[in-house]
Amino acid sequence: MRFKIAVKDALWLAGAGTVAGAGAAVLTHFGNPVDGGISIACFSRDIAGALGFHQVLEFSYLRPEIVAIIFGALLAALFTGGFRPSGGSSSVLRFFIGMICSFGIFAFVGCPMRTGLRLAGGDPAALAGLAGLIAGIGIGSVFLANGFTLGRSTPTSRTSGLAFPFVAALLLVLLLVHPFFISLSHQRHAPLFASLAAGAILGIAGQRTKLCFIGGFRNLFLIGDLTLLTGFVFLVLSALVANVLLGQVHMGVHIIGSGDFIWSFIALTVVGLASAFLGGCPFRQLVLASQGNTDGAMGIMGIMAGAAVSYNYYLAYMADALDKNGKIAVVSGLLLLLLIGILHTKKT
Amino acid sequence: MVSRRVMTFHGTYYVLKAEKLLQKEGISVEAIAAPRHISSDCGICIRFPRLDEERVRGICASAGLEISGVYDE
Repeated sequence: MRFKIAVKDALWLAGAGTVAGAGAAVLTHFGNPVDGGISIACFSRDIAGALGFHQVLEFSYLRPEIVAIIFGALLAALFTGGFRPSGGSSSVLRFFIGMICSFGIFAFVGCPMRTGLRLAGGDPAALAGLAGLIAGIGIGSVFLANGFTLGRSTPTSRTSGLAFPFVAALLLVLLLVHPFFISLSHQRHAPLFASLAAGAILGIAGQRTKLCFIGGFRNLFLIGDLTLLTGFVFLVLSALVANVLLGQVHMGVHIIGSGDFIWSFIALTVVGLASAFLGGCPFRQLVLASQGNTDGAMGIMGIMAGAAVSYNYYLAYMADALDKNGKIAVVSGLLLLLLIGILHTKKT
Repeated sequence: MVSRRVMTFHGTYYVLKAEKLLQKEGISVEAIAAPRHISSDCGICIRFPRLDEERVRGICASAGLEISGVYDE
């Protein structure tokens, strides 16, 4: 296998990765969670909490970054002809794969993007998580190379494609109006303007570059292409540099999420495999959903539903521990994914 | 005129299969990450010399590989 890289595209991805990494570090400085200034899955969890889907007040906030990413990506797609409503590729199965992905994410407390940010913060457990993520993507790549598919996506109506961004607009209204039925905790969050600005820029960058934090490893394993990996590398490097400049590095010190190396590895193996099956990391799913891809929307909604289930039934890493039920959920999730992989792999 | 073309398929497996098949037929082809300006279901595609396009299309058709799209690189 010959290693290759498309230099021009890689430079764009380096820029997008830098926006993500440095932007996340800056948002942490302004009040967002430590080692998670932007985290699609964790912020989806917080939105789920605000809407009452789970009862953990600490993780209840209508994260405006998510809304801004959606609108940034949508506007970029509309202006460049990239808005292509489509869907129908095993939609319900994608929802459930998203849920399983969440079980892994919240057993570790980190999606692929947050794993990179935890690594950039100096968290040693993130190394085990990254190893697990790579292992999961590797397993997924084997399935992909042997014919795994969730089926073809087909064009759908403009209304379907705009439904997800419409819901995002409602979330922003709810945040600004704060009706009684919305729970907003006092947990760490950056000022609204900073969150919206960073999210919008990241949404545009993500849509224009196809930034994906697992696609790089997938392409490396399948075809030796390093282009997409540039995004993840620069996410970590730029976040690290920004953390150093802002005095946020805690090298070798574990602060948030799971510090258990073995379960971090297993949990992120689930995340890597699920993301490979979905065709991209949670960030990529969010951007796809924003540009009319309803399959991406199902993946993200599955992640949000999985977050709610994880925190309602103590499957997540909470109170400095991963409960037995959480471990069962992670292992069961891995086995289910392998079954899905076998059932959906067909050589023609 | 751009000297190379890229071709997308409806899944990773078909890209890899096309690459193998075309290499066997002596065509200078390789699988790459789909360029930014190209939409692809699976994120990868094959790249080959423009002059070989007709041959590539013919081989893919004979092998039953449904092409999703063909673009300038």
